[in-house]
Amino acid sequence: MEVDIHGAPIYFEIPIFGGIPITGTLVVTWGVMIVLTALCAWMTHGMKVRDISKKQAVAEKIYEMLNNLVRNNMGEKWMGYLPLVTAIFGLSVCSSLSSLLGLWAPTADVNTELAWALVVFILITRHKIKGHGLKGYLKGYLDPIFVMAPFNVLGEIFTPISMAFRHFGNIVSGYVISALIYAALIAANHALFRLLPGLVGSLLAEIPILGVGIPAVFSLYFDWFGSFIQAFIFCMLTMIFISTAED
Amino acid sequence: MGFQELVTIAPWTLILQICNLLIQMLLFKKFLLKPVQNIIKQRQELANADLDAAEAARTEAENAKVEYEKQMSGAREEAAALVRSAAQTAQSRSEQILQEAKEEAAAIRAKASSDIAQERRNAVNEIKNDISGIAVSIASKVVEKEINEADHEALIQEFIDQMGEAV
Repeated sequence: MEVDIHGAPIYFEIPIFGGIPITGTLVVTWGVMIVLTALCAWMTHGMKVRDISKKQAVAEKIYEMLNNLVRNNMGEKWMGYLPLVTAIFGLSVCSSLSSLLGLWAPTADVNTELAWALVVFILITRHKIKGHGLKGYLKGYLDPIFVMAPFNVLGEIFTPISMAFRHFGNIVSGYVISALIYAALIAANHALFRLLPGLVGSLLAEIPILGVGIPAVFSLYFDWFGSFIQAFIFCMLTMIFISTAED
Repeated sequence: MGFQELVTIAPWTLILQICNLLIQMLLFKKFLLKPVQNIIKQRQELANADLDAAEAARTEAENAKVEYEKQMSGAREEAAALVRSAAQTAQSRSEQILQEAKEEAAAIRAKASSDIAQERRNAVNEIKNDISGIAVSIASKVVEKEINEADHEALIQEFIDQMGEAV
């Protein structure tokens, strides 16, 4: 039984700056971006004030939900972060769900989440400095006494890392478990139908009958549930960390 | 086609994913958030305009009502004044008529009484003359020319005058 668990596929390298690898992560992300943008453009195309179409109702409902999410978790003065939260949520959900289409999920590459977390980290730091002043911000690392400084620095650095790895871990574990289950089902299929005598047995053993249907059940949790819940958690943490940074 | 390690830091992927996030942010802003915000704003403005129009209509109606009531009370007052003045006119006219009638009656009475006085005077004079004549003729029959007629006349006249005053 061969289980092949690997990272993002590298399609080719752009031979500048010592080679920029174009991975499945990037290609699928671009695809997701195109699809999302096209979807938004289609939904908001020809919007009217009255007698709205179904697609406009959906667009307005989505907007309302996102707006309420940011308003309830961050407050009125943080509404400028609506686009960021929307972008993270949209990219996260669609990236994770792209595995349903047999594509490489960009969220199964830790660089994706690290990129998002890095942006969030920069914003958190910016608001901490804005709220406390540079001196107050640096002084915060010596809290409560100066020997705690290394731990405070670590704590600060691990905020984005834990955010990134929580999301990444959940998605990649789903990916690994799905791969294992699928491989196990193939092996079980092989072993089961081998028991049948003659040509029929060896023929049926080659067709992954058990591979049909059962992985879909697991996919329901790992892909659908996991995708949404992780995107939601990442957005919640983003909003809470940023909005509490100034306090 | 190669594969990355399952967990590895790929700097270019990291950088490009940051760019992707920022680009997606702008795309969402341009294609989803801004258009919907615009529509919601337009709808709010429309609703506000409707409310303003309703408010204006209400104010106008109230103004019209006040104006109407003012006009109504004015008309009522005018009507009352008209009635009052008409009554006054009628009153003064009737008084005038009554006055005239009284004056006319008084004049008629005065004329009648003066006529009567005149008539009486005439009658008294006539009677005096008659009586004096009769008296003279009676006396002349009695005395038979003893006294001249002129003295008799004077005597009788005196008697009649005394008698006339007594009448």
